[in-house]
Amino acid sequence: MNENRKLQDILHCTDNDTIDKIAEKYTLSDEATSQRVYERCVQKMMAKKDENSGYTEMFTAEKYKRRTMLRIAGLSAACIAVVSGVFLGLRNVKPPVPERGEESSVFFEVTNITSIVTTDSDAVVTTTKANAKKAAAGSLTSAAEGTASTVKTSQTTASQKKEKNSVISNTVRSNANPSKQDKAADTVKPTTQAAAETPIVTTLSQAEQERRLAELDAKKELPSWDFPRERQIILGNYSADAPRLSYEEAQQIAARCETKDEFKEELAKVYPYPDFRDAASQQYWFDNECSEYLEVRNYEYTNLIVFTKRDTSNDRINDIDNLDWKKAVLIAPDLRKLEEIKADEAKNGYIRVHDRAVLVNDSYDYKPTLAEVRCKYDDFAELWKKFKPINLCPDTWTENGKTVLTYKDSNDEGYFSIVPEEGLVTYIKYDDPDNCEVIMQDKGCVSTEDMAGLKEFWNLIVSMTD
Amino acid sequence: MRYMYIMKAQSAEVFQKGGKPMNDDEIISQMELSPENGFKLLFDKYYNYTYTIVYHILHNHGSQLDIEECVSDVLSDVMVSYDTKHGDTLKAYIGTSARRRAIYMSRLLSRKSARHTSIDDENFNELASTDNVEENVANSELARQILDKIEELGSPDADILIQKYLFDRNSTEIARVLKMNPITVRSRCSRAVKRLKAMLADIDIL
Repeated sequence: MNENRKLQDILHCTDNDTIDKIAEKYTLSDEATSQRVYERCVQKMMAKKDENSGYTEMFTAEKYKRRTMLRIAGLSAACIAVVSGVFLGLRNVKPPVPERGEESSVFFEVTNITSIVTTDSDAVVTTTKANAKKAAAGSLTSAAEGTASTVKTSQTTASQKKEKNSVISNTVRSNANPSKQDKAADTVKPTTQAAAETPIVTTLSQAEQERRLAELDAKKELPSWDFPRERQIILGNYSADAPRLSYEEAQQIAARCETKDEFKEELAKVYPYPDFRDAASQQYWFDNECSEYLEVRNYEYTNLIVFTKRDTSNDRINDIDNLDWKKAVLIAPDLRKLEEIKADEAKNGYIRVHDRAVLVNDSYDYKPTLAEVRCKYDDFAELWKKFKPINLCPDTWTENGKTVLTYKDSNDEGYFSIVPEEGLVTYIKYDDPDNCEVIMQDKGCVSTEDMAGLKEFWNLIVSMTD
Repeated sequence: MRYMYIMKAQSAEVFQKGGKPMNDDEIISQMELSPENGFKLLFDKYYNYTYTIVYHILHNHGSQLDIEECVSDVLSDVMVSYDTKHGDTLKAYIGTSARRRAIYMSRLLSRKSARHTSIDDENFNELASTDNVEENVANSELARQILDKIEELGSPDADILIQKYLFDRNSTEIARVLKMNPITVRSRCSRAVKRLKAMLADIDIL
């Protein structure tokens, strides 16, 4: 192993001539990869051409000549139009006077906040739009109107708004007869709830916007990175309180879609701005901390997977073509691990072993495993004959007290340990103290007598079917 | 997408006529006449070269995706920026661009873990590079000899060892590149390593 590593280190010190030689003589990547890179190149070339052409246009633009008189006339006309519009509007808003003796019908509707702008910074513009309309029936009219005007003119936060709407509801209750009180309450209640839940769009001053955008750009470690949701919030195009995608919702969307592309389109309709985007994928975070997220990968060799917190960029999924994207997104929350998905993929008569990187002492690393092994069950049976049993430590156990059979080869160079269990096989491979691998089942545990060199269990699920 | 299909079709025609890769002058003239066609030729000829350079600089810093991203940056930059009339040798231009871009990207990628020291710091003069130049030069010569020996193994063993030791790929990935069975790759690899070790032992290496 050490020799291999030494060989690797030496070969990584190649000079330019050697690099030329390698590039000429050997094929370095598969067709799919080179095709993918080629397509990326073409996209980038086109983007660069667009950028260049935009740059030229900017320099050929004509200078704008300001016409003072025209400007003054235009401003005056606009002012007149606004004032007359407000005046006429207020006149039309006046409620109808109920006829004397006629029983007053309760009809009350509050059309609520379309947008509220609130911030703590002095650089922020604060406006409130509320509209209460159609208040009829006797004394209710004045109460409702009064409240409506309060809603209209107040500059308030969402919580204050909620309180005011509850005041409206109470007013309705106290003035109408019981049957109509209920009706009024029913009419008001949903709209007041809607008022409280209306997303708040924050508009920032230009200086503040620029500062936050600069901060956002500083987060980008690669040119292809972007944070669309955060960007749109800063630009005032999207609410910071807009709901986020949940795992359950992703499931529902997936359930009604036939293809992965369709799923992506549906997702984009509901959530137009992913939280993160790079050249390879989009991420929809399930919360602000990104503790869990849905990652939609673009490339043909990957698929749609729900990942958890850790970095998964180096995870490998073998035979991805055989993996149904819907299965990947529909797996239960507690099974959101790659190996769990892969466990379903065994085909008759074959053992498939899938590798993955795991968290070891909180650091992400990669370790080759038996992943390359892919052979028939009979081949393994033949292989096992070459190994001899060794002793395991007394605390070796497996779920349901299954027997642990461990085999060691005649040269003492390594051994396999196998735990026969229905549908699952566990191996331990131990080459030398510097290079040992313990591969165990998700359920149950296997350990070895000689623990030298073992730092952490390396997990691997393999599956076997007859 | 349609645009790309057209490009593919054109380049295929060019290759069918000649039957062998074009030289730099022909590629440059194609880049002038038909940029799409020219780029396909450029890509076919220099993708491996660019990938190798970028990989050797970035393999300790970035993922496979970062490497691919960097390669596509380099080749698209070359296509957009290369002066076909007064430019340098195409290969030298690509080589330099690839090195610079990869170094830039490696700095970006390792920025988080990098330590920064002020030039006013007292210990500034004591900072030393972790690179051992002497050892690197010696290893470079050694690498050349080892690669010669690997080449003597012939195909596909040489290809497998290059993929394994130079590009750190596992059997599945190698199998995908070489279009072989992973089990075959694994067995051939172990046999090839034994043969190589014997050959290197003969010349007192390893």
